[in-house]
Amino acid sequence: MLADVLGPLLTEHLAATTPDTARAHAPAARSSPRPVTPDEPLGIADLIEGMLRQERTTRGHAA
Amino acid sequence: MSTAALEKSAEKAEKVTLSTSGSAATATATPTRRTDRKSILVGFDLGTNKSCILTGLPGSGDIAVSKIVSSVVGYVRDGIVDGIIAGNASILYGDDALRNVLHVNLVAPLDRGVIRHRDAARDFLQHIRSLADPGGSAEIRAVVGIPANATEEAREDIRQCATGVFDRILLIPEPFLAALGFRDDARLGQPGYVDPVTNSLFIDIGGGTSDLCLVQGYFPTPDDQISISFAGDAIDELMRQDIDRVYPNNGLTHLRIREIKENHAYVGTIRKPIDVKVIMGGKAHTLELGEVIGRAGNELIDKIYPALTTLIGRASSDGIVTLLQNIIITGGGSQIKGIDTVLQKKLADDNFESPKVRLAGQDYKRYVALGALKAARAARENQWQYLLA
Repeated sequence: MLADVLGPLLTEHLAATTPDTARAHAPAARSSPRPVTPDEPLGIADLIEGMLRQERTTRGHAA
Repeated sequence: MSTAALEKSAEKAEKVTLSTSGSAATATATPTRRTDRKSILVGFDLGTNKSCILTGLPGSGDIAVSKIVSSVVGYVRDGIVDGIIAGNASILYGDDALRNVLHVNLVAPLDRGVIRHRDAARDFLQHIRSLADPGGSAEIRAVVGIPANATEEAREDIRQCATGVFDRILLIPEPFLAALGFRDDARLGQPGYVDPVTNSLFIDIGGGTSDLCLVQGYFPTPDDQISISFAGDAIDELMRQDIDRVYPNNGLTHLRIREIKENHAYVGTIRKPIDVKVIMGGKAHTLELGEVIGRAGNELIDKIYPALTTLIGRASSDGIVTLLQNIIITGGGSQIKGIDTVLQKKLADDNFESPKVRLAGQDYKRYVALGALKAARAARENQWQYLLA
């Protein structure tokens, strides 16, 4: 049934819709999503995590 | 920037939960760890024409191996007399292959940033592994730079070719790695120093692609990146067409044309004369190539500038003025004379606020690999993808 298919897809989409994902679909001009102070170096591991999350979301949409 | 001042790995191995990526050939995390193997971290810029490899040990800030290798494999031709090729090798790599061009079939594994010849790519990666780990027994964890527009198919090609060569892998877009490599870790937090990972626009002009990327405090999304299939190789081709038109039957090889470009490339107002001595049919000739070289270089500007203004238009409104002061050109194209001033002037003429375009500097060949090695040091245990044979 359609609901059986849509239900899990919707659940997956909601789970995947993180602030990072929302940024990926934001309009062209947008405010900085996370202001960074000069004395707060960006964690590389956190940036990698964001990249991997984007990849999983992209694959989920492609599937 | 101090290239020795790399981030020390702050992450210890930790127990991870098994999760799967989209590819059947990879998996994140591992149920068991072989603790008897040394691990070597690799930052690898897999370029169309030039690749760069930097290696280090976990927990160390030192760089153990730093090499730039021409991205070419030479398969020795049949019938070559013993002793002509050093060690009677059957396959040569990089500059060794180029030096023996008469005796090998040269294969470029990549075209415009993506793998085109899988067997050659695998052989090349095996050679890279031997540079990182001559003993052949270590676990290799490699962060590999990929073009900004790399498709999932292109990514999977790299994974497939690296299976059995590298043990763990992370694929990260090159412009972002360039920003990471360009970041001066020793100056982080100092007044007046803008972390390039926080707010910059990188233009990485390589052999196959020119990649532009906004880096503004978060991992770049697809909208933050533009990749153009016009770069060094395209300039070579334009020059070839023009030279063939003006000087028919010149017999210049693509390698010689590339050499001419690397020595004389410029953008902006046409400069004449640029006299280049070439050997044609065994005889020395002088070709005036000022207009040929300038036309080809300016074609690159015509391709890059619209992409540059498009990305500026997409940038976060917070800090846009700072961004315009942090436009950085890296890659081989950063060596084109005048490219920074021409782009800066075009931006100023188009009324962008106080733009400043600068070159990455002499270390331009290493920034992507340097950023990749930094990423390898910082990656968490469960972020690495396993390559399952």
